[in-house]
Amino acid sequence: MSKQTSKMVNITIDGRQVQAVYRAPLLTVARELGISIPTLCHHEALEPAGACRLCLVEEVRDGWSKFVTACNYPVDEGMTFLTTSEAVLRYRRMTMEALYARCPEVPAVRDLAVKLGVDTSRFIAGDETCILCGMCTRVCDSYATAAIATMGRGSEKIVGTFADTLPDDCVGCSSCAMICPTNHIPVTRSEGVLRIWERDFPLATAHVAVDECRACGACEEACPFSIPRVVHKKDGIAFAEIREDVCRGCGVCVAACPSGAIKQIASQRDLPARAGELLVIACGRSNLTGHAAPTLPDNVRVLELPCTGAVSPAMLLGALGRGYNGVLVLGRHQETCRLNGAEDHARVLVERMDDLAQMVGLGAERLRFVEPDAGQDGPFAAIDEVLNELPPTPLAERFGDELNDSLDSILPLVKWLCGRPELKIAAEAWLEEKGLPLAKPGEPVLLAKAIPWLDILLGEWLRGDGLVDILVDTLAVLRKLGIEAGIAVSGFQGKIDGMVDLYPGSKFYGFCPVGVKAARDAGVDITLVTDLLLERVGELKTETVRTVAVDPALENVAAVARAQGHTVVATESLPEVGLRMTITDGERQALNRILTQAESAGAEALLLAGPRQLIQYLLLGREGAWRGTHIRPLLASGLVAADLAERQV
Amino acid sequence: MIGRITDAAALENLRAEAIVDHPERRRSVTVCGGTGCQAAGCAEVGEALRAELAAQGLTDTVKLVVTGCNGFCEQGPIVVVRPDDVFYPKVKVADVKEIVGTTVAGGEIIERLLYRNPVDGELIAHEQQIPFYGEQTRRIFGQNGYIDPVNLTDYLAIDGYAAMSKALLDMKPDEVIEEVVASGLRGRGGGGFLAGRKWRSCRAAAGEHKYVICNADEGDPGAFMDRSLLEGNPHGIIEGLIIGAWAIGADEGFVYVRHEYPLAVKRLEEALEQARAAGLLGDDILGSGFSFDIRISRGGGAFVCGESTALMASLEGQAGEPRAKYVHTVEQGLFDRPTTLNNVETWANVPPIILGGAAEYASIGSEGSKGTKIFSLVGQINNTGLVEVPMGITLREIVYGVGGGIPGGRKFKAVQTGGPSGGCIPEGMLGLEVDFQKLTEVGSMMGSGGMIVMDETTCMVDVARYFIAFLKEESCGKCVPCREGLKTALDILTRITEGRGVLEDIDLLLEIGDWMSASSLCALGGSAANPVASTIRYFRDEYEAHIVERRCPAGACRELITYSIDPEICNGCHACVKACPEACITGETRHVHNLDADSCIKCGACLSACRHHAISRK
Repeated sequence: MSKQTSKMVNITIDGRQVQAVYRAPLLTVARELGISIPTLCHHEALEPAGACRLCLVEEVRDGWSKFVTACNYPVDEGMTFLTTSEAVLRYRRMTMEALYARCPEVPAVRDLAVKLGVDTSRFIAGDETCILCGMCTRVCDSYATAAIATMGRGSEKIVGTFADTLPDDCVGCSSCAMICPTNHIPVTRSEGVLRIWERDFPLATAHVAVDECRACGACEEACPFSIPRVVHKKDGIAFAEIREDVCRGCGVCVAACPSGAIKQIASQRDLPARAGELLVIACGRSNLTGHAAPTLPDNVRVLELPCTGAVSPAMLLGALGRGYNGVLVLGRHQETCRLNGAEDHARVLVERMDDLAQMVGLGAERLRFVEPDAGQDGPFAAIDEVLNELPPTPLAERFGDELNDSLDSILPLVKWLCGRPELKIAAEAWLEEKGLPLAKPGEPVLLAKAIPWLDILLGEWLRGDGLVDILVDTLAVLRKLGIEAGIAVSGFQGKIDGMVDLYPGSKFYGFCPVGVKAARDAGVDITLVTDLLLERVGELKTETVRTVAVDPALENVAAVARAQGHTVVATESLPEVGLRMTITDGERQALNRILTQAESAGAEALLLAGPRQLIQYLLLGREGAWRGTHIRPLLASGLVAADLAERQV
Repeated sequence: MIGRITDAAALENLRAEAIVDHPERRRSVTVCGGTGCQAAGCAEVGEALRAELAAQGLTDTVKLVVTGCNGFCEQGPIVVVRPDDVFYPKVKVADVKEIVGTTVAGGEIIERLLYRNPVDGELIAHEQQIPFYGEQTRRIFGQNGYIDPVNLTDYLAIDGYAAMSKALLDMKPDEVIEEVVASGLRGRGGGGFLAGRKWRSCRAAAGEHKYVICNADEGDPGAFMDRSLLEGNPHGIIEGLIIGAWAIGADEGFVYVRHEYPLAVKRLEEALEQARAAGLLGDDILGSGFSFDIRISRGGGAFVCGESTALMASLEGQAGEPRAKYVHTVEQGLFDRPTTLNNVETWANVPPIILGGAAEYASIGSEGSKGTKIFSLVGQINNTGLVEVPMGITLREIVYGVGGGIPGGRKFKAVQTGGPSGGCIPEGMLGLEVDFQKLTEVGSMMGSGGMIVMDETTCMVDVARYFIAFLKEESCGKCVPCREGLKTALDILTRITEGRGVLEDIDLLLEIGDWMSASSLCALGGSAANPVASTIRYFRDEYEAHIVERRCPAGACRELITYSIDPEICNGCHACVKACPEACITGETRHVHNLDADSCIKCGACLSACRHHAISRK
C-alpha cells in the first residue's frame, strides 16, 4: 500500500458506514472494525495471495453480487460489503469442507472447521498436512532466498525444493517452518546442528570462557530467550553458563559481555580490512553473498553474522575507527525471524553508538540499523540508499590497535577518537536529552569529562542513570553553594587544556580526582568538588543522619561525610583498577566483601572517590550477579545532594 | 527481402507493384501447408508439384504457393489450381502429374479427383461452390488460401499494412481507439470484452512503458483457429499489434505462443524478420516517429497460461499461476505496467476495422456482437474444419449449412461450445443465434470458438467427465475450490459413468459447481461448472439412467455397455473371433458364435469386424 496517499473513501460493511483509506484491502478495514473474517493463507508480513478463499465476502452492486477475497480487494468509494450473508457463509463452509477433507488430522484445520460449523465432508478424503497456503514459499521469496517453491500443478501440487534436490540457496533461517500454520515443515536440532529440508546448518551456539567471565550477569539480561544463567560455586567462583542444546545462536550475549568472554562457534567477527567504504553487517539469512545475489558495488564490504543481535560496539565503532564511512546493520521483519527479539538489541545498540559517534564529531547517521523491505531486492535497495547519503569519513588517520569485543578494548578507540584534531566534539544533543545545562563562557563550568561517552558506551550495563546522576548531584550542590554552573564536555585527557580557550573567564570545577590533577598539571585553574565541599561544609548541613561506608584512605570524602554529621563506617580498601572496565575475579570478590561489610554495619551507601570506581561498582551491581543490595554507590557530592531540595532529576 | 520502406508513398508504390501479380488473380497452384495438412502429407505433395511444374516447364508462368490453413481440414492435402480455383481434396503424390498436366497446363478438370458433397453426392469443381466455403463469410480467413504467409509482397497485394499506415500517419491514437470502440469489436479469446474499451483504459493508465500482448496460448481441446491464423497470415497479426500499440502508447509487444505450435512460431519469426527489414517494425515506422517491436515468448505446456495474469506471470519467468484481477491488468499487468492483452483473432480483426471503417465492420453481426467469428467445427459433423461466420448466424445454419450435417444419417444430439468453459446446447435450441449474449443465456459461452457437434452415440455424462478431467489436469492448484473441487467432481462423474453413482451426486455436483463459480480465483475454476451444469440442465435423464438403471443411453460408457451377438443374424464367418484380442468369442465356423460378456473388455473390435451387423452394443 502506498504510504503517500491517504485519500479516504466511504464504504459500507455489514450495514455500517465507515471511512477507509482508498484501495486499502478490505480485510484490513474489517479487522480494524472488529469484524472477524477467517483466513488461512494470510500473514501481515506477506503480500496477500487470495489462495485459500476463506476470506470470501459479498460485494453488493446494483441488483447483483460479486464474491471477492477480502485480503486483497482494494476498497473504493461507495462499495458495499456483506461478510456474513447466507451465500458467504455457505461458500465459506464449503471451502472449509474441502480443506477438512484434504487435511482431517491437522489441528489448525480441525479447529477452524469446528468454528465454522463443519464436522464432516463430502469431498474425497485425504491425509495431507500441507494446506498449500503458500506462505512458506512466499516468505522464502520475500525475506530469504527463494530456496523453496511449489511444484507440480493442480492436485499434484506440493511444496518442495527444485527437482527434489537439496536446496542450495536455503540458509536455514527456518522462516518457512515458523510461518507454516500446520507444522508441515520439519525442523530439528541436535547438538548444535539445525536440520531443515534435509540440510544441516551449524548453529552458532555461544560458549563462555569461564576464566574470563566476571559473572556480571550482562548475558543473562541481554539474551532474548533467557538462556544464560550465572551460577555461584561454593568456593566463591561464579560464572555464566549457557546450555548448548537450547542456545539459539543469535549472539546477543557475545555483544553484551563486557569482558568479551563469550564466543560463538561458526561465526566470523573480524572486520574486513579496507577503509573509505560502507560496511554492511548483515543477518546471515539475508544471503547478500549467495550465488543468486547481485554483485555489490566495490566500495561495500560485508560481514555476515548469524544474527544482527551479535553486533557489538567494537564492530560499530571499530569500523568507523578503521576508516569506514559508515556501517549499515541489516535486520529483517520480526515475524519472519527465528530469533525474533534478538534484533531489538542491535537496533538499540546501533542508535546508541551513533549518538556516541555524533558526539565525537563524526556526524550523525553513519551507523544505521535498517529492517529492509521484503523481497530479495530489499537489502540491496537499503544499501543503495545509504551509499547515496553517506558522506566520506572526516578521519585523517586510521586506528591501528587491536580490537576485540571486550569493553576494555573499545576504550582506547574512544579515547583516540576524542583526541582527533580534525574532529569537533558535539555534546549538545546529549546534554539536552538529559536536561543538563550547557556551559557558557564567563560562567562557572563543571567539567563532565568522559561521563557522557561512558554513559552512552556502557548504556544498559549500568543500572539506572548512575553516571548522569553524578552530574545532576554535583550541579545541585554547586547551586546550593551559589554557583550556577553549566556542563562542558571534553574528551579524555587530550582536550582539557583547550577548555580554557573555549570558556574564557570561567571558573572550572571537576569531580574526578585523577582528572582534576591532570588538568592542574596542564595549567588549568580547577577546583575539585570534594575539596570545595569540605571547605564549605558549614553551608551544607543536613537533618537526616545516614550511615555510610567508606574506604578510610579516601580522607576528604570521609571528612565531608563526618562534617555533615553522618555516621561513617570503615571498609577495606577498594582495589586500585585504573582505567579499566572489566575487573578480575579477585577484585570482584574484594568488592563483595566490602559491600558485605557495609551492609552488616547498617550502611545505606558506599562512598567512592570518583566516576571510575563508580563504574566498577555499577557494573557489578547488576541483578543476577549481585544478590540485590540496597547499598547505593555515591560520590561525596551525591551524599550531600541526597537531602537537597534543589536536586533535580 | 524488401528493404526499409521509408514512408507511405514508398509503401503504396510497392503495393501497386504487388497488385500486378495479385494472389487472387495470378496463375498459381496453392497447396495448403497448415499443420493439419502437414500431418496428411502435404509436404510430399508440394515437393511433387514443384518437381512436376519444373518438368513441364511451367515454373516461370505458374507460381507454386504453400499457403496457411484453408480451414477444410479433414480434406487435406488440398491443392487448388488458380485463378479458376479448381479444388482437389485428399491429393496423393501419384495424382500430381495428372493435375499439373491436365488442369494446370490444360485447363481441364479431373472428375475423379473432385470433392463430392456428402449431403447429396454431387461433385463440385470450384472452391467457392463448395457449401463449406460458400456458406461462410471469410472476412479474416478468406485470403489465407491464396497468399504465401511469409511473402511480404503477397501481403501488400491484399492491402497489407495499409491500415497501419493510415493509423500511424493519418490518425491520432485516440481516434484509433474510438474507431475500435465504434466497431463493437469484442475479444475473441473467450472473455468477449469490448476491445476498444480495454484499449481506452490502458491508454488512460499511468505509466511510461506499456505493453501489448497477443495471447496465442489457445488451450481449448480441439481449438486451432489461432494456430491457423498465425500460420496462414502472421503479418495480419503483426499489423494489428502495431496499430494497437500506437493506440495505447506501447513501445513493446509480445506474442505468447503455446509450446505445441512450432510451425506457427516459425512463420511468425520469419514474418517478424521481414517486417523489421522493411522498417515496419523498429524505429520510426514509416517516418511516423513511432517505434515498436515484437518478441515471441513460448509457453511451457499449460492451459492455465491462457489466462491473462497467468500468461503474464509466465512471460515474466515465473510459474504460470493467475493472480487476483481486482486491479486490472490494463493498469498493472506485465511487470506491473499497463498492458493490453488480446487474442490472436481479435488482433486480426483490427486492420480491417481501421481500413474499412467501423461502420462497415459493424454492418455484419448481431446487436451486441459485431463482425465474424472463426469456429473450429469438429466432432460428429460431415465438414470438419475452421469456419468463419457472421455473429448472429443460427446454430442450425452452422451445423447443417456449413457443416453439412451429421454423417451416417445419425441424429443430432447437442453442440458443445466454448471448450472446457462452455456448455452443451441441445437440439431444441438449434435456432439459437450465435453470439456472446445468447450463448451465455443458455448456459454455455462463446469461449475461443470451439464447437463440438455430438450425436446419439455421445454420452453427455462422459462429456462432462472429459472436460472435468481436462481441467483437473490443467488446474494450477493455487486456490482451494478449483484444486479440491475438480478432484471430487471428477471422482463423482467417474463413478457415475462406471455405474457406481447415487442420486445425491447430481445435486452435489451442482452445489460444487455453484461454489466453484463464486469462489475460484480465476476463470478456469470459475467456469469449470459449465459443462457439468449444462449437461445436467438439458440431459438430466442421462445422468439418472446411469445412476438408477446402470445404463448408458448412448452406449458409450464402457462399464455399462454389453456387446452381444444376434443369433438370428450371425453366420459364423469367424471374422469377430480373429479380431477379438481377449478370445472371448467362441464358435465353430458357419455356426452361431457366442460372446462371453464377463471377459469382454468392450474394445469394439468385433463390432468393427462384423460385416453382417450381427453384433450389437447396448
